[in-house]
Amino acid sequence: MEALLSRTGCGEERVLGARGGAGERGGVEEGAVEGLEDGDLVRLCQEGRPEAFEVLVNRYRSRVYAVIVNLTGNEADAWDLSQEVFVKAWRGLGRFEARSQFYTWLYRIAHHATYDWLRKRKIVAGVEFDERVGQRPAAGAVTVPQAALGPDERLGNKEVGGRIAAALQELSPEHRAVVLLKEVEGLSYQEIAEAVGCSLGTVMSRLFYARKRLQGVLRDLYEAGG
Amino acid sequence: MKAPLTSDDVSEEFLTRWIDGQVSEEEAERVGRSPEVAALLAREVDLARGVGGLLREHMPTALEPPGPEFFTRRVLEEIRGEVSLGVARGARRRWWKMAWVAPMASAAAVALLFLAASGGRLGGGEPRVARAYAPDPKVLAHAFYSEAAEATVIDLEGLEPVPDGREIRAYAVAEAGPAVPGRGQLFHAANGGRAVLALVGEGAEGPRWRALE
Repeated sequence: MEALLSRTGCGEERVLGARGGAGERGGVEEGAVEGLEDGDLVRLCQEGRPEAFEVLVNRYRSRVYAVIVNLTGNEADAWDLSQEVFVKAWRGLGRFEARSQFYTWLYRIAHHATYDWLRKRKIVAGVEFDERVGQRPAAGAVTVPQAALGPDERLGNKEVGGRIAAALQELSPEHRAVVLLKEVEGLSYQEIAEAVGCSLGTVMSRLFYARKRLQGVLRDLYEAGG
Repeated sequence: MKAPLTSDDVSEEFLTRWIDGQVSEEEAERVGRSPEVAALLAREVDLARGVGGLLREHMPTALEPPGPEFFTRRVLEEIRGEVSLGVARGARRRWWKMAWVAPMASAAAVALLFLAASGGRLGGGEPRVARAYAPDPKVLAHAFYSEAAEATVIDLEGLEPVPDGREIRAYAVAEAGPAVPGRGQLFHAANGGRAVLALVGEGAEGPRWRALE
C-alpha cells in the first residue's frame, strides 16, 4: 500500500497524466495537435486523447465564456458554467458526428447549460432583474484583443454598455439567446435553430419580438449615435 | 406575376427575413412594386440595424475568463478521471464491464453504502466502514483509517492486472486536486493488481498522500 501511494504521490511513476505517454499515437505526434483543425481534434478526442481537447478548450474558451456572460450577465457564474460546458462537451464527443460545426455544437451545449441555470435561478423576463448586472467585469477578467473589449470599455462608456446589458436581461432567456446569436455571433437561422433546439419559425418569431423589445428600450441610444 | 405586397402581408416572419436579407427575388420584387410597403420595411430595417449595431459594438464575442490557463487546467483535471474509466469513445468496453474494475467498483459501492449509513461523517480515528467487501473471492479488501492522510482507505488486493495493450489514464494522485469531503476518490495501479479507494474526511484539506510514504 505505502509503496503504491508513495510512487503515485511523488508522481514519478505516473501511468496517468495529461499527455498519457510519449511518442506517437493515432498517427499524430504529441505536441503536433495545436495546428489541427477542429474535425481532426474531435477525432483525436474520440480516441481518448485529452491533449486534443486541451487545444479545443484553449481555442474556444473565450467565445464560450463571452456567450455565457452575455446570456447570464454574470461573469462569476459564467466561469463555472463555461467549465461545465467543456466537461459536458467532452462527455458528449463520442456522439458528435461532425454534421455540424464543432463550435455550433459547443454553442448548443453552452445554451442548454445556461438555460438550465437560468431556469433554476428563476430568472425570467422582468423577474429578479438587476440593473447592475453586466456592468462589473469579474476581477482578473482578461480581454481578447480584436473583439474582446467588454461592453463598458469598448467605447469608454459604461452607461451605454450597462444599459444594453440591462436591456438584454429584460428579455426572456429564449429571446435573449436568439438575438445574441443572430446579431453578435452572426449565426444563420438554421444554426440558431440547431443551437437552441427550436424550429426556424420560432427563431424568426423570437428574433422579431426581441428586436422590437430592444428597439423600444434602446432607441434613444442608437438614434443619438446616428 | 403576383400582386404587390400590402402592409397586411408583412408578417413577423417576413419582416425578420427582410431585415436579415433572407427573402426570395420574387418577394423582393413584390416589395419593389409597393412603395408603401417598401417605405415601411426601410424604417424597420433602420431600427433593427440600430439595435444590431449597438449589440455588436458593445457585447463581446470573445472574452477570456479570469485565469485562462487555470480554466483549461481545471477542465482537463475534470475529464482525465473520466478518461481513465474509458468514457471516451476510443475505449472499446464500458469501464464497469472491465474485469479488473468490477471488483473495485463493487467494493467501492459497498463501502460508500456504509458511509452513507454513518451519516457521511468521516475521520475521527477509525474507519467509517463496518466492513469492506468484494464480490470476487480472489479479491481481498480491507479498510483502515489513516491518521496521516485523514482518510478512510480501502485496500483491494488480487485485482487482475490491466492488459498490456490498454492505455490507462487517471488522476495522478499528486494532481488530483482538492478532495471533496465525504466523496470517495478511486485510484488504481496500471499493472500492480491493486487498487486503493480513499474516502476523505470532512475536516481534511485533501488526501495527504506524501504523509504515507
